[in-house]
Order: sequence, then C-alpha cells, then structure tokens
Amino acid sequence: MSATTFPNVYHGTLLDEIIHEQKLSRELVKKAAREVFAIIKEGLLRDGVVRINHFGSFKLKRVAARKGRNPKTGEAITIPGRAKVIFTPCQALREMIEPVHAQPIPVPTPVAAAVQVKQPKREEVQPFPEPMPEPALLKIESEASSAIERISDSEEEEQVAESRRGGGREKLIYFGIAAAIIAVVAIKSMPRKVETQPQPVAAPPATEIAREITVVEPIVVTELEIQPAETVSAPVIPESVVDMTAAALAKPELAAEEEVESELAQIIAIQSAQQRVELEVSAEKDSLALEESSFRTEEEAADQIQQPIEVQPISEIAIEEVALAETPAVKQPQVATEFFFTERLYKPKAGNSLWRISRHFYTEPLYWPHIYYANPDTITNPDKLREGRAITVPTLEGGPGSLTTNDREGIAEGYFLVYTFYKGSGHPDAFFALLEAKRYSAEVVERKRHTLTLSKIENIMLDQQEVVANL
Amino acid sequence: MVTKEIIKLLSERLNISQREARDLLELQIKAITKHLQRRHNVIMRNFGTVGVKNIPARRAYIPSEKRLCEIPAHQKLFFRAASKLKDLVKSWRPS
Repeated sequence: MSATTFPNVYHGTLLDEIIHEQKLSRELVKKAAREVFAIIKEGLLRDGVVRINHFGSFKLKRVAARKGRNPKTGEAITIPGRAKVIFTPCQALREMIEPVHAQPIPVPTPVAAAVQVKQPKREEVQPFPEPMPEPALLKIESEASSAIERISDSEEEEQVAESRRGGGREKLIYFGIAAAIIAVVAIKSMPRKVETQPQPVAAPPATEIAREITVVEPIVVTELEIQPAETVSAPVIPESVVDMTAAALAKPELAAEEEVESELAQIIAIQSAQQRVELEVSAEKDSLALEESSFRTEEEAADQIQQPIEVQPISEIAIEEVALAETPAVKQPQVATEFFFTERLYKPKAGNSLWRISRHFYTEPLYWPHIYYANPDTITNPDKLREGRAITVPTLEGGPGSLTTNDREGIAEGYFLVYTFYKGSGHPDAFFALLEAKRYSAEVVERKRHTLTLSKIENIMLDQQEVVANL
Repeated sequence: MVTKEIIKLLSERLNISQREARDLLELQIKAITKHLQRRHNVIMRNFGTVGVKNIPARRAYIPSEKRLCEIPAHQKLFFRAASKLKDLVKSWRPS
C-alpha cells in the first residue's frame, strides 16, 4: 500500500502532546482515550453506526460469504461472511486533505478533446450544402459550350472557349472571394466563369454578396454578346446566387426569423441597386473593348436592367419558403422550457424540512405547502419529515413573481391543509396559514369556507385579507 | 450513536461533567486531524489506523460528462481496522 510513503504516529504520542499543551492529568487523558474507543466499539455493535462531529462516521457493513481459492494449493474454499468496519470522513476533513477530492474536476483526455473539436466542424458544414452551386455553374458552362459550338466559325472564338474550359473546374473549389475580386479586373481582357461560385463559407455580409454579384454580371454580358438570342441565361445566375445567399443567411440564424427577413430585404435592395449600376458599367466597358455595334449593347443593357426586377419576387418567395420550412424546428425546444420546475422525487435527509426543500427547488421557501399538498399520504406532520422516505416535489409552472393560477391554487390548498393540521394540533399560528392561503388564491378559500368554524374577528380578518398579485 | 451520546457515556464513566467530556473528545479529534494534515498515519492501538494514501491519476468514463476523462492524482483518507476490532465485529448482523 502507498500508505507506507507517509510516516506513522502512534496515538500515545498524540496524547502526550495534548497533556503537554493543555496541562491536563495524564491519567484522565489516557483513561478518556481508552473509554472513547470502547464507546465507539459498543456503539458499532449496538447501532451499527457511530457518527462523530468534525471527524466522520464509522459504519458496519455485512459482507456475504463467497467462494475463493487457496493461492498456494489452488484448493477451492468458501470464505465465510463477516461484518467489516467502514470509515467515511466528513467533508471538512476530506477537503482539508485534498481539495481536489472534494470536487474532482476531470481533465479531458486529448482523444476526447479531438472528438469535441470535430463535432462543431461537421455541424458548421451541414447547413451550407456544397453541391448546390455546382448545377448553376454546370448550366452556365453547358450553355456557354453549346453557344460556342454553334458559333465556332472563327478560330479566335474557339481559343476563347478553350481558355474558359481550362480555367474552370479545378480552381472552382479553391478560389475564394479574394480571387473573385481579382477576376473583375481580369474580365476586361479574358472573362472567366470560374469565379461565379458563391463560396459556402459562413454567412457573408451584404458587401461581400455585392462583390459576388459584380463577378456574375459581366459574364452574362459576354455570353449574350456571343449569342444574343439566349437572354434566358441571364436571370438564371442571379436566382441561384440569391437563393444560396438567402439559404446561407437564414440557416445559421434559426432563432430570429424576422431579423433574417429584414436583413435579407436590405441585402436584396442593395443587390438590385448595385446590379443596375454595374450592368451599365459593364455594358459600356464591353462596348468599348469588343468594338461592337451600339445597338446591341443598348438593347442588352435595357434587358438586363429589367431582369433584376423580375428576380426580386422569386427570391422573396424562396426566402419565405426557407423561413416556413424552419419554423417548426425552432418552436419545438421552446415547449420544453415552459415549466419553471418539473416534478421529481426527493428523499429527505437528516436536517431537511419542507421549507428547505422548497427553497432548494423552487428558490422560494414560502411555497412549501405546495409540496405538502402533493404528498397527503407520505407526510403526516408538515413540521416533521421522515428521513429516507421519498416525497414528490410537484411541478411549478411559473417562477417566483410569475405564478400561474394552477400554482397559486396548489399552494393555497397546501396552506389550507396546514391550517387544518395546525387547528387539530392546537397550534397558535393556525389562522395565519388560512390568511396566507387567501393571499395566494381567494377561490380556494371561498370554496371551503362553509366547512370552517371561525370567530367574528377571524371572519373579519379573512374578509380583509386581499390576494397579492406578485408572490 | 452520535457525538452527544458518546459525550454522555464518557462523562458518566469518568465521573466528569459533559462539558469536560466534550473537551476531551474534541482535543483527541483535533490532534488526529492535525497529524492527518501533516500527512501522518495515526495508529490507534486495538482500534485501527487512520491515514492518507496517494491515488495515482487514471482515466475513467464520467457518466455526467459522457466521455472518457483523466482523473488527476490525489490523496485520500483511509481507515484500516485493527485485527482485534475485526474479530469483535465479525459476527455482527444488522437487526
């Protein structure tokens, strides 16, 4: 045993110290020590338990007979049952020896810590589905490729198509918003579709969304220039972008739907405003760069200005759908937290009273008759709890200051029971329990008033007692 | 049996007042706790040993935490009954 690491001290030396310090007679101290151990032994045999204040308790425990083996011969033997002494030190002594032992704070192992870190990462990824942007891009690419195939008469345009395909899919995932901003500059000479993917990072602020859209729009323009007939391809991209941003914004903020809606409305307003400005700018740039007829660009610009206006209702509907789909998930946990305190069983210990139990569970000791009312059979005397006999601590729908009618009636019924008990046992303060009952609920008292036999003064006092709202 | 009964019996047997008996009992308990604080094993003849032992760190599943945790090394009190006390108590049965 590791106990050998600490030095031994005999009890006799302790007694010597006591005699020396206190200047008591040696005979008395030694006799007292002998008697104390004798009394503890007697008490153990009599009651099976000896409790000593500020030290601990000695208990006897019966150990049943069991089968064992002689380690030398391997012979099977039965070890007879016996009683053994168990010592449980009191809390003060335990805390004195080892403060950690009183309230052990477990240190998480590295394995457990790693698991903890991983879990939130997975949760973060889930709300923002990655495969979503890909179909939108594929559409763009397919449309672009089909458009290129039709018009691929000249060699120059084929080269442009190759450059577009080559730049695409690999960089798609890795390019962030920073790359998107750089691409805006690059579009002047060589437009790329790669950067159109809105990154599924944590909810982007309004400014970042605006940046993404700046990237989107010029590409639309270039496509239109190649084949002006397919004007349908233009609204596809903003829709997908807006839907994605809406989903990305709405999902992390499950709790506040209204806030999300208001934010999105603001963002859409900013988007539409910026789209119009940027479309005009991009149209001008392209007209200068590619040296095409002014008719086309003007027509396209006019079309594109109209398009974002069409996009807006669609995006709003999408947001509403998202919000509607998420509402049940938000409301479910709120139901569970309605009760201030839910019912449970409690086994009273030595020194417990209804007052203390009420103070512990309800944070308000004056609600103790509520517990008494819920345990008519187990509690015979509300002033004396029986140790070790479980009682039910009933539910409390509201807290202190916000009691519901059910709570008030329960407490009033409890006080009424207390009154009847005190009246039967001749308690001097019995009538005050009745007054207290009326403070909580007048209806309960009025319902049972015909059963009472009150004096004139008591009747007047009971009439004057008013129901208190905040208890 | 609780402290009050011990004091009462002690005063009766030693022919002293209960206040004196209480003081004598408390002095003994204080002396034992003082030596336990100094990390001594107190050997009480024909009764047993109260002492401190080292508990090494170990890993354990904590049900409230719902994961494996490392419980740090700490010290703990122990009581080892003397053989005479063991024999005395051996045949005891709960009533």
